[in-house]
Amino acid sequence: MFLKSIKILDIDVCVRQRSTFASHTRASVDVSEVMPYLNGILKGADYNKEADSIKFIQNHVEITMIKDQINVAKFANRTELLELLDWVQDLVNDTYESMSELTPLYTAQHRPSVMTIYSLLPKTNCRKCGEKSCMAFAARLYKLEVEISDCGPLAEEPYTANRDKLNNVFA
Amino acid sequence: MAIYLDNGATSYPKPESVCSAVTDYMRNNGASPGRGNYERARDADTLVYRTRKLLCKLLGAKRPGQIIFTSNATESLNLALKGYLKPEDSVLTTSYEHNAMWRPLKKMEDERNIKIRQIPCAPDGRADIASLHEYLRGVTLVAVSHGSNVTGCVTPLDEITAAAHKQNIPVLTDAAQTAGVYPIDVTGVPIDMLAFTGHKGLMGPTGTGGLYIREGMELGTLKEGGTGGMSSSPYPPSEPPDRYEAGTMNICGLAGLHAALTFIIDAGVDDIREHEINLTKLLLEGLDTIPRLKYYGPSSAEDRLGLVSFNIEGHDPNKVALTLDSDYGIMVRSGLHCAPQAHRLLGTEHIGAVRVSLGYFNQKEDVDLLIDAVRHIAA
Ligand SMILES: Cc1ncc(COP(=O)(O)O)c(C=O)c1O
Ligand code: SF4
Repeated sequence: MFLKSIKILDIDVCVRQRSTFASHTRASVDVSEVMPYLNGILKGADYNKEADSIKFIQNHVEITMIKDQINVAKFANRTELLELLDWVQDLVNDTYESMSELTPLYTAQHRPSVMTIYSLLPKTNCRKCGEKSCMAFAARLYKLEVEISDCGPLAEEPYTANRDKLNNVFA
Repeated sequence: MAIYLDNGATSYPKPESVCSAVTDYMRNNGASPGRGNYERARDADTLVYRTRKLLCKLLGAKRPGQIIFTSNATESLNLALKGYLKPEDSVLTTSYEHNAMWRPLKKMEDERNIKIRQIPCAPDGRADIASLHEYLRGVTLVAVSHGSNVTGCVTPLDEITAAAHKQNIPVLTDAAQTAGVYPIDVTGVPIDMLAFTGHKGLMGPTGTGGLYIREGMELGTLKEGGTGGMSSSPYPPSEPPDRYEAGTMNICGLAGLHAALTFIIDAGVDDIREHEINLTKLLLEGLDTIPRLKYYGPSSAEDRLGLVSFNIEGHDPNKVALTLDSDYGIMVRSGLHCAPQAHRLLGTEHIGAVRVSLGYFNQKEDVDLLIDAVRHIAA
């Protein structure tokens, strides 16, 4: 097995809300060689070849890998953290096993600007996403701190066509 | 030599690995899960998490967070019923519920004015589901035992769930007597809530149990308190499992339950079930040869759990159980088995019955000795 284990180094305790829950972990191997392949399959991942780092979101949880470090943020509780680490381990190992069939992507994925994202949002500032405005949401989506699905209205008409466009530009 | 035949109350013996896991945790770890940020506390977290994962595997659940730990099936059923039912709701249940289901329902009847409707049963204790759709009219929750601890009947959950879900009614089941000894798949037969206890068929320590809650279903809490995370909020967190698990967990018990689940998954629930069917067959055949003895429930071992209740004409069941213990060293349970509803169904609510309940560690010889002893007593 390529990635045998992921050891938790710390978990932020006594936290206020989901957005401040964070954990640092150490992988049993440096996973850099898998990163371009992950970049090729993970939608909207933020890969930096020079830094050997990749960042992406899974089920609202932020995951950043730097060499053998895996940092996880915004999980709801320790059960979710452990479940996510199991998922990451499987993902890395499955990707490693399939590297010969996968196409690596060494460049950063094309990302639209904050203004492009904003232009595709409902622009109603309804705050259902928890942000103060659609512009604030666009800025956070650009930084991959939120997901497209966090804007509920996008799932409804007349916005679904824009949602599909957003999904495409982040693909 | 003592023969233990009261596995329906709690299983005995436990696998040796269960006993050593409990003492190992107490000696070598001892930390509280979900709180500290030192390595041993995180190891305790991992132990609890792995226990949830094993339960997912055993019950067919998808995500560890869907498994809520409680102290037993009784607490799980209280959480499910009190966390779900609203005033004036209407519940469809069976006519053979254990008091762990029946009493919370009766309390909700008094306090929240809920309506309780019961599925009628055949004299052998089998639920009569032919006209189920009529009983489901206006119902907001179906709450049924998966297997009776008195009649040994197994409830046809697949048919009940299909009918209930057709009308968007969620299904809660009490798997206290089935988890670990009977195949369960909450994804294949999409159960919404499933209560289990850790110390019967699951072979773990007493004081362990849990409730599986389908993803997307949120219940009111039964207790509020420290959960380790999100501590500055005055309210419980919204995400399971922490939402429902206030207070320090029974981590010693869970260490044992983890070992027990590992044992069961290694042995295989299908093989455990087959062993119980084989012993039950012998038990039923033996009981059939004893004059004036009547056992209750289906006559085919395949259609029932590994427990059989019986009475001998002219014999007080309590005396029979006492004599089996004092003169033969055989432990069985008499009385109403906390399930007066089921005894009413069998017409034994005034005298009770003798219940023999088999376990994975029982062997053919145990059944043979029991049959000989009962034959003596009945003669
Ligand atoms: C059918 C049934 N439901 C619920 C329970 C309650 O289990 P516990 O006492 O572990 O809460 C039992 C056993 O006592 C039972 O047989
Ligand atoms: S939910 Fe969507 S529409 Fe509403 S403020 Fe947030 S981004 Fe704008």
